[in-house]
Amino acid sequence: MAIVLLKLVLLLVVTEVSGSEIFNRRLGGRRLGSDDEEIRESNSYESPTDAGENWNLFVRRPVGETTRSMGLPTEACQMVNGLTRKQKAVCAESPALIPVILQGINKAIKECQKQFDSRRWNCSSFDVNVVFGKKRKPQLPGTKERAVIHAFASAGVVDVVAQSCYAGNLTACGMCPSPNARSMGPNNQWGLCSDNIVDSATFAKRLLDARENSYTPLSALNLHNNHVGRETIYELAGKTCRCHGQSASCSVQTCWHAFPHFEKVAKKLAMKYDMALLAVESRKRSGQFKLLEADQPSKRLVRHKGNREVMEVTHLYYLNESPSYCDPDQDRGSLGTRGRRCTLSGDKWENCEFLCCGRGYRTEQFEELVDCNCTFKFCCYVQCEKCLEVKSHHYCL
Amino acid sequence: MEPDDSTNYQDDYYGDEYYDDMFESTLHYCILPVIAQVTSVFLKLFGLAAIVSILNQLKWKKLTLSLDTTLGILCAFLFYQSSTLFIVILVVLSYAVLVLFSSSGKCGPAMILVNLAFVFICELLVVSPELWHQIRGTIILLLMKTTSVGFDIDAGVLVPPDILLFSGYSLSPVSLVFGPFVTLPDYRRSKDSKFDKKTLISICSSLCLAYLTVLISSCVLPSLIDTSSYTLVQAYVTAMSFRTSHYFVSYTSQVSALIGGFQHSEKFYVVQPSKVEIPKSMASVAVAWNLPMHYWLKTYVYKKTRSYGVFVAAFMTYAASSVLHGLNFQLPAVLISIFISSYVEAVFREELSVLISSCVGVERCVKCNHTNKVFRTPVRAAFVVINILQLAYLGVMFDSDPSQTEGYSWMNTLSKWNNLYWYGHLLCGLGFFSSQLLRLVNRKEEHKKQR
Repeated sequence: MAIVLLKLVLLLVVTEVSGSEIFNRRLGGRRLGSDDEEIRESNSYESPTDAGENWNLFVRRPVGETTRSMGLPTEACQMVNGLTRKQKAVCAESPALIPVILQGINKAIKECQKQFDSRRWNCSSFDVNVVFGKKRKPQLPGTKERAVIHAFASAGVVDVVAQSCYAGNLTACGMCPSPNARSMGPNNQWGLCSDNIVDSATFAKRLLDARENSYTPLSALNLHNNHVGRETIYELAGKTCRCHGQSASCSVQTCWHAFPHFEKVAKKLAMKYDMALLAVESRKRSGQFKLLEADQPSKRLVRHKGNREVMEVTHLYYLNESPSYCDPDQDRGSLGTRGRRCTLSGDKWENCEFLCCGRGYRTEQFEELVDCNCTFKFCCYVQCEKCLEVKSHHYCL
Repeated sequence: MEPDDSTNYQDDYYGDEYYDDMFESTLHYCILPVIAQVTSVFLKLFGLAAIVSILNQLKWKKLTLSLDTTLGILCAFLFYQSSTLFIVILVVLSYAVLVLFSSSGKCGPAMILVNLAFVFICELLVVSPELWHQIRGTIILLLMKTTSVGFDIDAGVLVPPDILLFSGYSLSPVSLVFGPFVTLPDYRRSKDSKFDKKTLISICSSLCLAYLTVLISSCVLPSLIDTSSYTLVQAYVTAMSFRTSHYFVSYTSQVSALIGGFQHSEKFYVVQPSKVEIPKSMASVAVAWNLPMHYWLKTYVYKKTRSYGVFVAAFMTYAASSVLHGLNFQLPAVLISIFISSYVEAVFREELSVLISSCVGVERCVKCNHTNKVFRTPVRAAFVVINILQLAYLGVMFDSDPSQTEGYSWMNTLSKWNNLYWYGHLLCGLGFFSSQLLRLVNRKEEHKKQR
């Protein structure tokens, strides 16, 4: 009997720790009727062009609260550097999400720089303004690098917003629809709401995509690459369950949220950067354009109006070839590789020959105190002497 | 004019509030939800078991048995909802067979036939694969329970029970969902149980192990799994996730049995993970995997077919186990593979022990004239390693595939084995041919010695 009581107490404690906010939010925030329709509509993935064209048609209200309650005035949207007019309008719906979005972009920058650290282009020209603020040109538009920057930014935003929504830090998140997968309890209040990703992705999509219009090929390309970033999170996330039962049956299931660690997402995006495909533009006489995959012109990349086929959502696309990033070129967003550290024995990108573009390198030698002549003393520690060791680092000229 | 402090505004919010740390993220997204889900299951299961235990203490005999039945049906309903019907029908059908055949001495075979017919009809025609796979565990337990009663009546060791005792035994919530297989005399004895400190300690330790194993199975190991790579390590991790899930179920059944009053004897150590993780031989794995089921298989299948030879008896044991699992491809495939591995290993090691005159056989040498002691430990250790590889091979297809709720498809099994180049079966084949070779060599040696 005591055991049962103990378990009840444990259950209550666990409730408090992990789920009560979500539980209350779901109970309190549910509104029936038309809001459900909007939410269901916003959960379906439409082509990237919709955000640019139709955003003002479906004004999605966050369910269950007013955005003012977070304490951020709508002037916050005015204060962020350089939002376009459309973005300010989207921002005004939930200004509380703006700091989270910025956090997301920051996280994306960090991870991108980590992934590309040893390459010629080391993601150093990625800053908030590339994807978020008024258009600047730190980067030659339409290149592979621009593509991966956009993917990183939208993935980072989705990641941070979804996590904040789950943690209950934001009231401006959509609620989770009732789960249709079987779970252990009668209500899946302990199962995680993977649709946090969907709702936050929707808002992130609208905010980031509002900067692009789909009337130019470059913008359409950016929209596609934003979509790829979000899709990558979807590929790696999702609710996973495991069956447990006597003789490998499925009497009960435990389900958990396989929220991908952003590092995994970053690695995947770096892989997609390597596999990015070239697109070509083809203009009709009416001024409409189509983006087609260069090697397989029969596949459509983005169709402007009407048919919404978007092929190959798993690939990043670029229009222009990248510069070699060897020499600094402000217009094209290249910082050059002068002064970058390289290794003599590294493979591929961090090799001095490749990284320095044949210019050569200089070696800096310095002395470092290291442990040497280590012996085991009885009892029971290791005693080492300090020696001066000469180490060399190589830097590109 | 753009205010310059806009950059400061952005900087202010660049906090590190997200889960940058993998441990924290796993804790939040996996560990806590899994603990909560498992606790809700435990509350249901152990709550009912505790009620049964309290009723036992009150010693109301008939009322206890009928309450056992009702609580069991309630338990099944909580877990399986509408599929409870099939469980109840099976019990009623079995009792009808018992009544009809108990005096004729053919109760056991009749019970098997009728039950299997019912089960196959249900699985083929009536029930959806997902629902059936959900109650498969309970159905297997019921099949074992009813056939044990049938065969015991035939052998004369058991008086035909009345309906209340039979239904209480079959449907007691203590051993219905995950519950260990228990015999009718065990059940009767449980009604007179007493609780002592040792039982409570066992309950607590089994409970802790249950939580630990489910967390390892659901949270720790899946984060190491990379579904796109087909290496040996991945296979081992997937198989280990499956094994720890089995330990979780076994420990849960142990706790519910102990709460329900089944005494602490060897039968109620449901599983011995140490013997499975460090497998001295495949046969010992098969035994330690589920000790009550091993007892059932030994008593009601192996001993009855022993007269036809060891190989036939062993084969019939695994065949019976496969048949219990119903019309599923994956489970019988794995079981037959285990059978092949254990048989080949036994034969090979026997021949090897004769050849190098060392005690490396599957069973401990009782009285032998083996002289070499040098080879014993290395060869045994080598076989432990081989068996670990075999276990990885045999468990690799029990992953978190969406088809897991239906019992996995045959394609899943064969494709997973294909990805590993069928190394397990190849090892078995190699072992078999080597054993035949060794047998020839040993015979020649013997003939030489005789001359």
